[in-house]
Amino acid sequence: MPDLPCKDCGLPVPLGRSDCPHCGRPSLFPNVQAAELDGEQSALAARYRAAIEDAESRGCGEVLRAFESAAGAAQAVLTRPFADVERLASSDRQLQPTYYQLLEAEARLPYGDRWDKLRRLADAALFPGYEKDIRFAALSLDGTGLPSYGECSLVLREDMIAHRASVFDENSALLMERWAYNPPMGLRAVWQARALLCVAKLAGELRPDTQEEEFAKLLLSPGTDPENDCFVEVHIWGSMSGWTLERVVFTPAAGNRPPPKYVVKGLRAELAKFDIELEER
Amino acid sequence: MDALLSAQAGTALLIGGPEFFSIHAGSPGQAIPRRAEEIHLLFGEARDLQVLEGVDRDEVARRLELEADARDALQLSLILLDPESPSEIRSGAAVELDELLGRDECHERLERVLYAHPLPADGDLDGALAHSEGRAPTTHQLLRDFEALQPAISEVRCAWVEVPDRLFESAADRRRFQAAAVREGLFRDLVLIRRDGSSIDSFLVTVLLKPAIRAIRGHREVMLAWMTPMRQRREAARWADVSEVAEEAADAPRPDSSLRSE
Repeated sequence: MPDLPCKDCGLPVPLGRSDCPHCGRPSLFPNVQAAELDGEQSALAARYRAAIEDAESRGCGEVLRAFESAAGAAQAVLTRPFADVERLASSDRQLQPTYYQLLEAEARLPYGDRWDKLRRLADAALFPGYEKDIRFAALSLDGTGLPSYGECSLVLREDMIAHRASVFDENSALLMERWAYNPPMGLRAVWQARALLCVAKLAGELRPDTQEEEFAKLLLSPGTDPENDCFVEVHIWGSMSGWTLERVVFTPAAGNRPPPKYVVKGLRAELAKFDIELEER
Repeated sequence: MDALLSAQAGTALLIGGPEFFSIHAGSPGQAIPRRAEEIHLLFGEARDLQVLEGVDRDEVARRLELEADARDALQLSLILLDPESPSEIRSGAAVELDELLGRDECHERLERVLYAHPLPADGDLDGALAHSEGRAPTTHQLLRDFEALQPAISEVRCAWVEVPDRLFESAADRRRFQAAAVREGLFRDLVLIRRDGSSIDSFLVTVLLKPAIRAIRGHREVMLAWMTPMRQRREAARWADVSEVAEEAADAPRPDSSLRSE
């Protein structure tokens, strides 16, 4: 990956750094910089144009425009267990750690399964040198995320993440393996261009009679297991606290014992201190 | 078979040879086949994983329900003690906790956690007592006991803090030992021993026979170090008793000597 010049001293800053190694001034967010590279943007634009032409030729132009408009308002949602949300809501000094930070703090051990291996390899290739700082979420139109990861969907505030978020075509652990860790350009975009990536990826699935209510499932569709989840992955650089959330959607898992009624009410009261709404579905 | 259990996740994983099944609090009768790749998702970031060896499915299901009850009871008690929680929620939590405390072993399991640490400065015990009074009698009594035992809880906690770091391989090791001690009820047992003035040596022997404690490397040294301040105080108390008796005896008239003086 190329070095980019520091905006202040003009000397080259290796991609992956969040500050200039020469003058020490803060730099942009490395995942965003990676998505802004000329090659990435032109490749994405080419995919986008091809998707539009294909949709128009199938009589889906109008549906496509509606989908693009909806995707432009998609939110970043990460899914966590109820207990994690309780911890996050307990104080604004509580942060959402990354997988690697938990390992470093010995707060958890690696499971040593296939996902561990895939995730490490993919992260090292996609986020060289800054994988420990990346949090993952998914784009969502209805506020719900992928249920495999917990019963609470945390909808992130756009003003807290737009400047440091980028989006990726699908589950990066699987996609990177499929491409032998050397993926083509055009699979990632800056947050503001997420609609273009969604169109490039999903326009082929639109039909002339696709209804707007179907868009949410088209964008994010949980599979029977995580390998079959379909979604657009969001990469967010840096930490998150309760203040990073806009709302929490709580959907108790079928067959699991729900928390006590007053524990849920307690969480609602805690979240209210951050102006976060708790929605039960 | 063996099993992994987490109260936080409300889930247990049964490991029967190459096959995995999960059972979940709330529906423990239903075992769901699982693949190895799913295991990390079942437990998420849960930090209370327990390993159960040589257990059958019924035992795992029973333990899961007990642990889930204790987890819920702890959450409700924290809400009840939180001065920033709205009054209506604290009162409701007191009543909901009262129902839980009537369940098998839940009362003792909650005490195992509560007695492991003195009430923090921001814990509102008076408010919790007020919110439980008249509407949640078992909860109210639990809080009364917790209040009365604060000196013993502090003493046991201080003795734990004084256990030298060098007896653990790392800070994480220390945390793991503490988690096992809480789960096995060692803090609670010690607090009650201090209240009752029972023998620490008998307790030590019992603890050193517990498989969950014996499984931890260096457990004997840690336990001995933990007990030392309490044993010293007890020894000191014994010496004080002996000294007092001796002094009383010394102050008392000596019939034989008086006889001699006469």
